[in-house]
Amino acid sequence: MKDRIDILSSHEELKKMPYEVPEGYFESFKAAAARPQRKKTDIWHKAYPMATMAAMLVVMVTAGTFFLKKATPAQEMSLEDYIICSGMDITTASYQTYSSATADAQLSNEDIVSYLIYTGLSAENIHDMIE
Amino acid sequence: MTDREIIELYKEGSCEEAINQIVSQYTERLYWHIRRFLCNHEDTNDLLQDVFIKIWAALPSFRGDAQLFTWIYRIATNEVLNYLRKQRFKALVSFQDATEILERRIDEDAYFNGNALQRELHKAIQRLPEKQRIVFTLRYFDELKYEQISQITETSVGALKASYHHAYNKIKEDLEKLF
Repeated sequence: MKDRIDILSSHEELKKMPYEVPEGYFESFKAAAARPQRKKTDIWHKAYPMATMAAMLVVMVTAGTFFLKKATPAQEMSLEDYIICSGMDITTASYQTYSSATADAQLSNEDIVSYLIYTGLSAENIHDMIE
Repeated sequence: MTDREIIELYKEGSCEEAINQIVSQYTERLYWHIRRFLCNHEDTNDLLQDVFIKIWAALPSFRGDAQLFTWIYRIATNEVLNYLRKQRFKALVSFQDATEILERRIDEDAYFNGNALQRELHKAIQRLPEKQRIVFTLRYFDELKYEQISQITETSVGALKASYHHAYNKIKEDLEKLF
């Protein structure tokens, strides 16, 4: 078999790149690749104080709300209490309420009788109560 | 500036300057490395930008176990492989042959200024399996040592030698049929 010259090692041009690039491509690529990083850094440096202030404000508002809630006792009725209370009926008669208040108010018998007449009680009942 | 000096610069906190040095020193080498696989200027340009973004993002995790040069080449090679896999998938979906697309790109490339033998060499490279293609280009064109290629591809030197031998013979056969 005839020995041939190794085509890959005998042709020097094969190791060279047969491609071209647009004129000034590498220069413009390097310039463009360097610029965005500088831009990114500048933007961050500018935004940094504002970001810090915003973060501090958020922390202060959160902490303030938290402590305010802790310091003030809960005034709202819990759901459980609401359910219990919503089923309750006021059973105290109006005259009983009035009677319990008389001690503090120091009402005269006339006032009491007037009120009882106003509530629609009969004369017998009023008499029994006064007695 | 050497790779070591670039890393020192980065560690000292001059990140921007270190990146600019990497861009300045590696743009052309990486461009040609990528272009050999993509066979087209526009796609090479896009991928080169992606590679630098990856390098910039990964630089804080560079521990210095490997040389900066092999680390950068590894990122670029992985990006190339990802791109080629995506292209192969696209070709598969559109019932086309990915190798044929790459060969056609060489024929249609407005920036190709080589002779017929160079054209056939680059077409023959596209017909190689992925691993052989990488080993062949890194060894034949960039003349890297097997140890360096081993760090880039994370493959043993023995396996690389075998891959290069197969690739070399295949390309030689292809070219000898034509010339």
